[in-house]
Amino acid sequence: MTPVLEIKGLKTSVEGMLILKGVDLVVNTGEVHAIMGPNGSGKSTLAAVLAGREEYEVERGTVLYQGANLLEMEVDERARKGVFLAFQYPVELPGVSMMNFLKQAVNALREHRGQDPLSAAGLLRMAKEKAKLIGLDPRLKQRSVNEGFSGGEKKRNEIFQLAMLEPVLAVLDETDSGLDIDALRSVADGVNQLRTTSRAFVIITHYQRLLNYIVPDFVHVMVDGRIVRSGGKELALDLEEKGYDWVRYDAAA
Amino acid sequence: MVNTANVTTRPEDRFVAEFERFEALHTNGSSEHFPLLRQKALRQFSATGFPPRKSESWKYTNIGSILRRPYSAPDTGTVRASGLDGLGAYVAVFVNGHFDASQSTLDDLPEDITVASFTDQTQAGRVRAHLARYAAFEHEPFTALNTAFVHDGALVHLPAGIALSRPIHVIHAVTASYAALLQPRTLVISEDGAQAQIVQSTEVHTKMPVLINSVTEIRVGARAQLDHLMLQAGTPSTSNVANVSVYQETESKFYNGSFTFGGEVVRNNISILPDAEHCETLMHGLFVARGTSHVDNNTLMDHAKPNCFSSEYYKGILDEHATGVFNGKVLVRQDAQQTNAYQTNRSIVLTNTAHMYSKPALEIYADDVKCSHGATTGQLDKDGLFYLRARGIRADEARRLMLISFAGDIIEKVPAASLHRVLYREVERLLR
Ligand SMILES: Nc1ncnc2c1ncn2[C@@H]1O[C@H](COP(=O)(O)OP(=O)(O)OP(=O)(O)O)[C@@H](O)[C@H]1O
Ligand SMILES: [Mg+2]
Repeated sequence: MTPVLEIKGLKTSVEGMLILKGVDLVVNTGEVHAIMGPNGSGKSTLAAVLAGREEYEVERGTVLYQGANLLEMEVDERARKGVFLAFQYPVELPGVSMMNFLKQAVNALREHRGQDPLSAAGLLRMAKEKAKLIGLDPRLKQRSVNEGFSGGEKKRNEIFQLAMLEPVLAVLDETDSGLDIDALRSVADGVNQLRTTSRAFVIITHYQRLLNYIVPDFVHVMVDGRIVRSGGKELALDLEEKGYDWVRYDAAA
Repeated sequence: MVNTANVTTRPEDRFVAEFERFEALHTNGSSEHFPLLRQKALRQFSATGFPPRKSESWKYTNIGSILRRPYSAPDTGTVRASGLDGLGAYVAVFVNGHFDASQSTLDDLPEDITVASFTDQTQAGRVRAHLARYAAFEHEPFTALNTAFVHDGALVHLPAGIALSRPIHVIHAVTASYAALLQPRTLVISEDGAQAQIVQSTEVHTKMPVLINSVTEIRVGARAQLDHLMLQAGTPSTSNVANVSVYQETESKFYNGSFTFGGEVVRNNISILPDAEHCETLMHGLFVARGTSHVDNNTLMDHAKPNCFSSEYYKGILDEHATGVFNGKVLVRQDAQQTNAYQTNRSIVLTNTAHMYSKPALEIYADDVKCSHGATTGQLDKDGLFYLRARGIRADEARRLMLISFAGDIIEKVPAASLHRVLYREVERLLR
């Protein structure tokens, strides 16, 4: 097993406020890690730091991605090298058509991998196939990126992009929130189909329910900027039952 | 210190002197070239002079240094007009202000439609009947100046009920080895129920300074439907004052799109008067300004009669040291009850050395109307850029993608679909 992601002693601040207070996490290829934790504990912050958001100042610690210093890479470079973030709040891009967006993204990736750009027909074929896999309404491909999409459609669109871009490391930030039961099911099915031995997932969620469908190898609990507990899939069940006070108490002890 | 007498000539005097030279050159022959009208316009221009620096509508646009250059109205020249690829239009080409039949493709125009030069003697009556009727020059010195120099120009006449499927494209190309003053004049008369699209573009084939002072007057007949597009692309030393005056008759529909892709100082004076009930007007504009380019859109939507609709939508992208001005007035006169008028101005300013001055204005004298206006000026959406980059798209490409879609909002609304590609191409070229 080779590590895809190695986070050591990561401390980050935003606007002078320390948010991540020392995070350690190792993710190997083929693994699925779930991160849970109360609101405001820093889960999205961790995801944003991995994707390269500039507002977050790294105060201390290291992040290695495939053995290289991730924190030194440009946002788009990370993506081309296989880091994918499914946003908690996907951004609307009025006037940027889905197909043009996909073309630019897919071809940037292909160029990085030394492949020829995909033809328009090739792209369309791929988009059709992946949309079907995720259960994305094919008509959404005719629209501007996320513009006027419903909450659930936006989330599905994130997973659709994940399928299109075939990343090495996928970070899903609350992709399940706002989904109805059927959508949750089909998104989870999509993720499970994308689960391979050469791909790792970090799934941020509040709900055990998603983890019934996407069964994680590890569950971590983040409280106040630290991972205070890690365990197997049963940890999520314990949390569901006992609430966060249980781990909070533990962490303080 | 002793005050020295001011011996520098007013810029107006230079233009008057140029008029006399031009007059001597061009009126020594057969055609009369509207001498009375032109003399009157010259007197008007000479008396009024250019707008003073401090006047309200020129507050943000300093054209003084442009006007102080010594320009000459160009002689006949030879240059191949580049035209607009893929437009599929009937094309009328003017070089240095003179109609060039050899480059024009008007032969297959439907028989009763006229696209002609003012010098065409068979059209003299029509030109005389309409010229300067819709573009009054009494309070518009630039229109007066243009009128004083009217010599050749483009006449478009659309008979009642005709529907033209291909656009008419009027090109004004200029080439000169000296600072040139080009004053294109276009007259469009559409009769009842006519439908057509008219595209105007200017091409500058010289590195010398050029001042283009154009006047376009359009009468949209009852129930007629006219789309009018203006494309301005100039060298960094091209300045442009474009005056467009439109008169709409009952139940007519008019679209105006003004697209500015460069130039030193550009000032568009666009004024539309729906002078009858149930008219519809779309007034759209887009500019991309870089370097030290200055683009000023000064528009007037003049609602004089009841039950009309108008929607104005202007966008601008400002990069480097560019400045932009939007001075848009929607006037709803007392008679114009049940008017629906909307106005929006949006700009993206990419650097902190670029500036946008936006002054949208509603002036309403009728009490039962629906009007709204709004303006926003800002930077590119950071979250949008991040989202694109998080999908592997390089920063500069992401920026371009967002700017093109910002512009695309105006381009997609252009009624002539064959122009979308042309306009996207221009925008993409400028954002490279
Ligand atoms: N840009 C920012 N400016 C100021 N504070 C921020 C910013 N981003 C995050 N924070 C703060 O950092 C803390 C952690 O936020 P984060 O979004 O990472 O939490 P989370 O664990 O994802 O919560 P949730 O479960 O509600 O999504 C919060 O207190 C939040 O207010
Ligand atoms: Mg969050």
